[in-house]
Amino acid sequence: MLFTSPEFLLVFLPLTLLGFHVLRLAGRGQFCVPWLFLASMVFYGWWSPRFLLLLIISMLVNWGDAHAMARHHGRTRKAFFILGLVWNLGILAYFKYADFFISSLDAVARLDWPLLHIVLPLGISFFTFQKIAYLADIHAGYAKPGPLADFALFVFFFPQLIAGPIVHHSEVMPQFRAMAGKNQEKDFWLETSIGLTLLLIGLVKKVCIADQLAPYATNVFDHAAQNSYRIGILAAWQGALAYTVELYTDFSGYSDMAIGLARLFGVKLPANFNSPYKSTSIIEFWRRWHMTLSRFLRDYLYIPLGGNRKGNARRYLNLMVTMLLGGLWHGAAWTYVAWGGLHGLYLLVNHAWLSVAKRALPPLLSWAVTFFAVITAWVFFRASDFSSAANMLHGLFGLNGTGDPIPGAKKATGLLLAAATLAATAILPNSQQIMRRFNPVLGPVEVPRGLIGKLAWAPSRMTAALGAAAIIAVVLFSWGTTEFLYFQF
Amino acid sequence: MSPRAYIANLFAFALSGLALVAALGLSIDGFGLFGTRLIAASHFAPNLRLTVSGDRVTKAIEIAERRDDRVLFVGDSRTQHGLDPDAPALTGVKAYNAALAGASLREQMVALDYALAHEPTIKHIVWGLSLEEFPFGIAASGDYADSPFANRSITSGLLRHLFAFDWVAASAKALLEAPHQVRAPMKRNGVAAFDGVPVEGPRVGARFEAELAGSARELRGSLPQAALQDAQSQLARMLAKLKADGMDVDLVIVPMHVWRLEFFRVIGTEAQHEAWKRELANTVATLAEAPGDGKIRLFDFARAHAFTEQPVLDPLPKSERRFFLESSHFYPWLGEKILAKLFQSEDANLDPSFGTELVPESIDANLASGKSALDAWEASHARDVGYVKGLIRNGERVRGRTLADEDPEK
Repeated sequence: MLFTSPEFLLVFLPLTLLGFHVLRLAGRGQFCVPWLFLASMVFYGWWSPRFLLLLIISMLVNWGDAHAMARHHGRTRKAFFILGLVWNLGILAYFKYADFFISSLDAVARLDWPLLHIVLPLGISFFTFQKIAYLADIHAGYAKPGPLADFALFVFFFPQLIAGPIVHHSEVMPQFRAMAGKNQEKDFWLETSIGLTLLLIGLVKKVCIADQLAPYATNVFDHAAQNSYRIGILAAWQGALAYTVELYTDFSGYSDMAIGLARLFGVKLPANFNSPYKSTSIIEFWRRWHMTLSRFLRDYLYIPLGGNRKGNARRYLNLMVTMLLGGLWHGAAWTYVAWGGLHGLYLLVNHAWLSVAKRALPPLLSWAVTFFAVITAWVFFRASDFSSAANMLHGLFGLNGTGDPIPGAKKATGLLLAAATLAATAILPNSQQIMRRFNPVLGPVEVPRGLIGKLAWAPSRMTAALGAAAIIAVVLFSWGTTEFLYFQF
Repeated sequence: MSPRAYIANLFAFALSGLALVAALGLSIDGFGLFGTRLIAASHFAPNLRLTVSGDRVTKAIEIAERRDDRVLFVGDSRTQHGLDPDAPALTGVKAYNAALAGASLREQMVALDYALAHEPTIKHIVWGLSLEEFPFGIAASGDYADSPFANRSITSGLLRHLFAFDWVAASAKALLEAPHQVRAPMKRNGVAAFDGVPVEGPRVGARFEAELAGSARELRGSLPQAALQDAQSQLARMLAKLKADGMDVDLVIVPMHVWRLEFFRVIGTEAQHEAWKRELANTVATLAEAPGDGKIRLFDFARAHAFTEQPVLDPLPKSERRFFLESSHFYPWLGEKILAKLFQSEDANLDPSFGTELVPESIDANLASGKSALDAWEASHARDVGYVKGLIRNGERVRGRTLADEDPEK
């Protein structure tokens, strides 16, 4: 079920909310967690009942494994941890990487093994990471396993089940536990206002921006994939810019919706984006882009590898390994590995520059350099293969000249739209900054500077009118809306 | 303001706004689906149908609402654009054009099934066929998936007409243009019109050039044979069913400009075209023995002929109408000649030499004569042939070299 679909917005969500609040009003707060778990199973099972079973089995295995770890120490505890890791990574490897592995082997060794054409369970990359973090923390003694219902909701909680934010158990399980004790509806209207507004911001980003820009990007990248079209400079910039904005508004829109939906149930989630296209360095970009993934990779991969504790050479190696695996996490293709590798390289250069030059470039220049580096890397992220990525890069750098005429390309409109929305993402405050007076996410919110930074939401007739305009815009543009890009990961 | 009042205001404003949008859509009713139009149909531009991306949704609703049609056109954009259900050749018989842009044979069959289910009065089908759209499946995305052809409800289609941005924009545009009486009002019979497209001057040639240059990139050799064979079998089954139901079916291999015929010859698919026509003729012949009262005929208009050989590089005499928008889409005034042939109209548009009925006994002679006609055209149009070959060979380099730059002496 898509967050943007009528069945979700008009049926599933109202019914789930109704049940949740009726339970609270009736003084049955202890049933809120099971209710949300049940609703989340319906949400996932709507897409595939078969994979719902897989998720339930995997959840039970993880929960059992966590309890087994908690009861044991030393080698046995470690053995249970490794077992849990193998289980989770094994499922991920089978469903996500088996065909990638086979096709890579076929290409190298010409084995001609047939592909398995395995269907990827939605959200597998996201919930696998959450469970691994949970097991790792119990193994390290940082956490204790909780009740099954809380753990089940931690795994299944529908607002962030499919595409994050990747939540840490310590962030949400205490909130789930607290639901049982909350029988009053003291903040119902305020929480609903905040949740609805965040949901609306996300819907506008997805439906009115990402989906409208998608055709401009798709048209160019699709033609780049056909060897008979050389992508010219204008078309390449149109495609790359449109995709840059599309990806951000699509994924951050999804995250805003997830955060807003969770808030409707009184749950706060961590921020996932913090205006990444305002970054003036790649280091900063990774602090602002897909923040919960960066946090996971830092805490459960980069630091265990040694982080920056073993000298510069090892630090750079660790960074590169982390980014390569981060790339592979996004998709089972070498283009994603290349994207991760490119960002790893950017980070090395960035760190090396800071240690050699000891100072940053002027803000505008460093923003432009960072942005250009990010766009170039997105080409690998979006391209279907290396030859189409090369075609696009030739176009971006002007090596194809004006290129071939692309059917259906409206370069002026595409470029203008992409540039305008890009400027908006780089100038305007982001959703959590707009909502900052009401602590929309877990953790602090960066207060925006300048006049524009003064824009902040509060319940008023003006914000209600703006919200209504957003609803109307979403209705007008929602016909033919597409899946979220990050669903494929 | 309290959060509770905020939410009340939010929904009150939103519902009011949506009500206004719906009121706009209902009062304009650009596509005539609601019967609530306040402005006369004569004020709507004929190309209104082309301004939105959901023609399948509109068409499926139209079909469901229509009554008493006797003739149905099915096919792809060539038929949608070129065959006018109000053509004089039909002598007033009520007809509807259910052809869909970009529709493969399979999708055309879905549309045909749907139309027959909704309009039992249909007794005659004119089915425009072109090899390019023949072997493919139905596109999973796009407006097909949102249309009643794909079992989406008509209510959802009507809501889409009221609330989807494309249609709201079309309604607003129609409202703004309403004070000006348009030349030819939009028809509500499924035909699409390219209004304002030049039928003379250098831009005509540019259209041919752009379209063929695109084809040169998309079509690089034969179409998949197994898929073609599968499509032939499906068509045969469908035709047998139609015949058994007493339906008359005219299969029409739609005309293409001689540039396109030459294009197929140069890329090496002429033989595949011939084999395809032969197979169609065999299918029709086999069905003659099948049970049922329906008559099934096959006509070939995709041949070199005075109509399809109209010059592109040189201007036409002032008295002559251009028959093609570009090499694969013909105008309704050529479509009129096709319909005159099918319906044996005794009007000025009937030209017996245009189009041939294909039957197995004479197909070899017909194909051979078609080939000779193209040979003859080639022999007398070296410049055109060179141009088509140039488009194929140097698609990308053709850009930037306009037809006006073409030196006829070279």
